[in-house]
Amino acid sequence: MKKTKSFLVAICLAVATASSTYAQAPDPIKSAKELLTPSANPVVNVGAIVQVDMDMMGSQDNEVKTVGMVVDPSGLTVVSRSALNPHGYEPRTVEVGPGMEMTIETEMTSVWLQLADGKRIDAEVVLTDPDLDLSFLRPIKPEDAKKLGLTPAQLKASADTASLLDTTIVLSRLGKDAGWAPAVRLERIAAVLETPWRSYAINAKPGETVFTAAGRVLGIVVVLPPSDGSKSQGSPMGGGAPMMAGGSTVVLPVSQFRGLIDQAKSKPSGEGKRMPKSKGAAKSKETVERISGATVGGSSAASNPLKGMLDKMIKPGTDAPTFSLLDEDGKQHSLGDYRGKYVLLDWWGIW
Amino acid sequence: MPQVQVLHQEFTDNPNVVILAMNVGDENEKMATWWKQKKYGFRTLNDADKMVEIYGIKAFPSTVLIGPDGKVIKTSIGSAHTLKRTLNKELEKTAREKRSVDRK
Repeated sequence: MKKTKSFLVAICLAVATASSTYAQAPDPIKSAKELLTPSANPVVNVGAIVQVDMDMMGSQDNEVKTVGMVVDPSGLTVVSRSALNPHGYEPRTVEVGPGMEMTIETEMTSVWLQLADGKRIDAEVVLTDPDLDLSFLRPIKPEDAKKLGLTPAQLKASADTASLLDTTIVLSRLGKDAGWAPAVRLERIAAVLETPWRSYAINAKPGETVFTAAGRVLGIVVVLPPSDGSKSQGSPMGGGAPMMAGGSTVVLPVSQFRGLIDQAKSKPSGEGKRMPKSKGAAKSKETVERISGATVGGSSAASNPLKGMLDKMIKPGTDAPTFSLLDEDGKQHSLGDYRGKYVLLDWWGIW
Repeated sequence: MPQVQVLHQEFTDNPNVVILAMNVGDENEKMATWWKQKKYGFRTLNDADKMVEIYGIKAFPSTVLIGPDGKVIKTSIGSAHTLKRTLNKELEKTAREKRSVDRK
């Protein structure tokens, strides 16, 4: 009798041990809830002002909102490069009318990390990788990192592989109207891609952080670059960006950019592309300016006036023809007087 | 009205930048009077007409940016915003290079 009892206890113990060793699949909902706590959530709202310059039309400031993953106690944050500037980084030419082209250039005039209390932490871009679609941001003032109140992603414990149809946890943040609240959802791996690099296709927005069901960080959502290298298509306001051109969103595993994080960490401040302090934020949209259109010498390229005019202008890289002319006070100015300086020649007339 | 008016506020105090307005098609006296009233803070040159052909200027306003080495960096027709950006970048670059030379 006594023997049987202890035998039963032994069985119970054995079963208990077995069930904890060979645990069932982790519960993604439980993991997700744990990740939402501030001590585990590395996802931060990110904002930027992108100035879009259009030849012959003036410039316009656009506010961009995205999310990123904090990867270091210094506040170093990784974002999707294309989401940070949906208007495209490379200058590009779009057709704005029959035979008429316009060059569009963009510049990020400020970038910041957005706190839930509405405050902004001015940041700078310290490193970018166009091929992986990543940009690294860091607070300009190191002491600002503490204000973030976020915990860097546990990259040492990252899960570097996932399988088709695995359930993943996607962490994001909502917008201003929702108080920048953290948000979470479950998504399944839709495809495992090997080119141009190992990544996992998933239904998510660029910059969101993806975890496995066990709560280990898998990677960040980026946009696959278009394979045909197409750049200059679509509308003037963002047609050239991969996101707009229908690029796929994929999870880029941490293993693919661990080296970049180390590089970004060691970048000294100010050596990256330093952003002037949110000066663009207060600037109102400038009025669209148009050229007066007067032509000189009677020649007009009828079908393609603007492009024709630009084509005839002196080409960059050539020596500027010298001159020696009198100013409004009768003082002589030669171009040669200004060697070593930048010279702006503004051609004008009052008529 | 000169487009560079937009630029001059930004660059007028910069010793590395010279802005010259190239007047085309106006009588010198009329232009000088008008110019002095406006107090733009930079010089306008008479008789730039003869340079129009050489620089290939076909529209007004047009702006040409020339580097310290005397080579044309960029040209624009109409708004000079992209040119302003280019110049700002150039100046930053120059300042950075100067800093690194100073360090050595």
